[in-house]
Amino acid sequence: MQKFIIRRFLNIIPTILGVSLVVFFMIHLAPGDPVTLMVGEDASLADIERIQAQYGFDQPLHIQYMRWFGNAIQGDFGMSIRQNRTVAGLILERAGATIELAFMAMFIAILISVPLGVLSAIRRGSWIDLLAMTAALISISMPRFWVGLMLLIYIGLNFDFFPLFGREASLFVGIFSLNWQDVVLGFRHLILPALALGTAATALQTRLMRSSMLEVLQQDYVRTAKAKGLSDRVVIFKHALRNAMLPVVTIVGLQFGYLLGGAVVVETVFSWPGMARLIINAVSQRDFPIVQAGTLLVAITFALINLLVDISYGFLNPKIRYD
Amino acid sequence: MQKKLGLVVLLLAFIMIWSGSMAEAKTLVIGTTQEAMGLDGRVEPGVAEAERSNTIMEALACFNHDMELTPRLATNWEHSDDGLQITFYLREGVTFHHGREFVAQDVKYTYEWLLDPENDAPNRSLYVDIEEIEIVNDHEVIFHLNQPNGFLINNIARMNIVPYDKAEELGDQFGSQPVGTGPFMFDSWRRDDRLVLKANPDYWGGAPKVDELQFRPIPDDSARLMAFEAGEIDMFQSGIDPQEIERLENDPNIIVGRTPGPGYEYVGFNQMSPYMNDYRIRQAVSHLIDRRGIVDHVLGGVGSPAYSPIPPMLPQHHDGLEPHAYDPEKARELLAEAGYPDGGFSLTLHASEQAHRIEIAEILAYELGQLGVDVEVRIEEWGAFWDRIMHTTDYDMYILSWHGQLDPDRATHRQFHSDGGRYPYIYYDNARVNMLLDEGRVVPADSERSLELYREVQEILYRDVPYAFIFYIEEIAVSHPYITGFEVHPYHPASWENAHLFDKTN
Repeated sequence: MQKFIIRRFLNIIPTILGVSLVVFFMIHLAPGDPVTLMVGEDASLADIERIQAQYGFDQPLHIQYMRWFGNAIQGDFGMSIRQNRTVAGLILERAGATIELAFMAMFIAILISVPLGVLSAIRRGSWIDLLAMTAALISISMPRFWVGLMLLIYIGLNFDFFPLFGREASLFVGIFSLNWQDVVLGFRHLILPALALGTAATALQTRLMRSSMLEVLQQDYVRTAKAKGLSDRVVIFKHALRNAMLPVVTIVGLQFGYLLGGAVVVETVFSWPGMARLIINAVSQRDFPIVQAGTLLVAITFALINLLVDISYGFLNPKIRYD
Repeated sequence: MQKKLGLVVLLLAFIMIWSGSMAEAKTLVIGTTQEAMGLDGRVEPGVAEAERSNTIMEALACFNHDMELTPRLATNWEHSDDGLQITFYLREGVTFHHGREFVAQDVKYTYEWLLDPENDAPNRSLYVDIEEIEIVNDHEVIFHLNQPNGFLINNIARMNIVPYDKAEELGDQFGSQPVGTGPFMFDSWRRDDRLVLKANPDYWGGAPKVDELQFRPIPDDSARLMAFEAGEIDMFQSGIDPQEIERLENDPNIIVGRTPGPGYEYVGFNQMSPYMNDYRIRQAVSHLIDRRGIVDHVLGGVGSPAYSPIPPMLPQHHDGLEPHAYDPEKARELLAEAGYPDGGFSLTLHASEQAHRIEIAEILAYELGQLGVDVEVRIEEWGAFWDRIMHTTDYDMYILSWHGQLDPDRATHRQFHSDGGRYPYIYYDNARVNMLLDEGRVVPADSERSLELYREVQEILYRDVPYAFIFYIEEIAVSHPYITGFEVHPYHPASWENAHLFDKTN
């Protein structure tokens, strides 16, 4: 087990290196440069060239990359070109909001999809199955920004409890510090964006949960358990569910990446002060250091979550060994 | 059952706690389309930055709602007869937010910092005619110029004065915690969420009527409008979907303010292109633009057809001309004159991602297509688009705008003088225009000669069509009826600078 974790951990390193390389060259090779975008129409050409040199943009790309990477592994992500602040500071300020949003979206998705998927499977062909599967199909097809706008129009505008934009407090910090006022405030702001972000994931996971459960229910050991005279409840929850969860857990890990990507849209619609918006604004301003560090952080988060997923297999199914 | 009851009680308790915290100071919330990068106008020339920092800091002069220069930190100013000196008489009894009195040294420091090439001030070139700043006494300064520049005062009205001690102390962090003399004082800033400013009780123009001013960036147009209609923000300017305007104007609970702004959108013609360097083809394109139709149907009626780079509110605007008529027949004749009776060539038309520009580009491509000219519309992300027109000649036509055309020189010199700008986007070179523009800069701005010069420039441009002007922009802002003292300003950066006069009466 330990060996496995260490090996997987080491596997992350080339992944991250690859991501950093691709991101660095893609953003630098894209047309447009930060200084021209920054200074507006009135700056002189000489001024621009001097500012470019000051940021080292006059150096060859591979030199720039080495310099950046060398600093990055020491934890120094440089200064934002536009905001005159450290990239690490800017990202840390925002990462919490995005991670909270993605976790809440995933939490909602699991909370809905697992029971609903199980129910659909054991009541296969019933009206509840039909309804759940139709709803899932529709939800998967809805773009996130549209779901967001609909939530704003039908829920946000009609219920004062749900504010239309922004973030006042951190739900997670509120929970850990037992500050109930923050919990309520954080929850009120978080719930609509999390729903918008999590809808598609919920739908996908419900469908997956259902089909996986159906498959497991037809296995021999389930029939044996039933034949032993165990109640339906015990068969389903003690014997079938754990095995049926395996593919769902896998997809949860992968979905997390999509959630971090989808956060760009949701953060824009709900004016959520998160990292995705920071990165997307940085892309349009060609604020390279933020883009590089931000995507790197997203890649690391994604890799770590999938490592956790791999580890969790062992708990769900002891037959799975790690060597 | 008991468990459920417990949950309900807990939820009720939450709601009570939450509603108990509702009593607040009077806060005015302004929505904006984007977040500012920094709040130091010396290094950030954009609108998002200026609309915020202009409530915290002030310039020597400012523009009123009729776009006339009015005193701000200077009570008065005089140009010398030779045009080489401007003397400013500074307002007395003004204090910065950190308690020190505003003096001539602050003016000198601000402009010397700006002019020092080491400091990377992007707008430095607007002020290079300032040779030296002489302090006469604490409340009088003389700007010595190296050549007469009748329009320099307009740029001076755009530059906020920073306190020399605080600016020096904070260095490049000044833009994150600015200090000024304005009606509101910096309090806190969570980027992409809110900028919080507190009322300055000692403001020389009178203490603000609200306790707090907040700027909240909401990037999505629909979401911003919803937040406004739900009362979560009190007002905002620009970024309103044209399709919503009629509904908003008919809503008695919403005040829509509109006023012509000092800017326009246009189609630019790259004269390095073998087709666009023929004025007849440029004229033909201009005659294919249905300006009225575009304003009415693409822009929801906001704006007016344009024909000159000098906006109608400036005295130098030529009102004897009118927009090129939408006339496909005439366009066909012009193409025939240029040697293309059946079209038969192709052009590229570039635009960035704004919805209305994409629509205009498609309309124009269709119209040219009717005359046998194949137009490829290329929509690019802003950075790529900007890079193309700034650094390459790889385009025939593009759609873009100019804003903040506060004087005829700013509206023409950078655009049409052959060495006026850092980038000749259109490579226009007309010796007569160059000469007129050079002279326009040095004659007094309010002289008869100035009117004559710019009148001729506009006539030449009307014939030469280096740009096909599409429409003059119109500023549009929405507010709730319970907001008093607000009137939409034609120059967006100045919109909230008199926010100390706004009140919230609900």
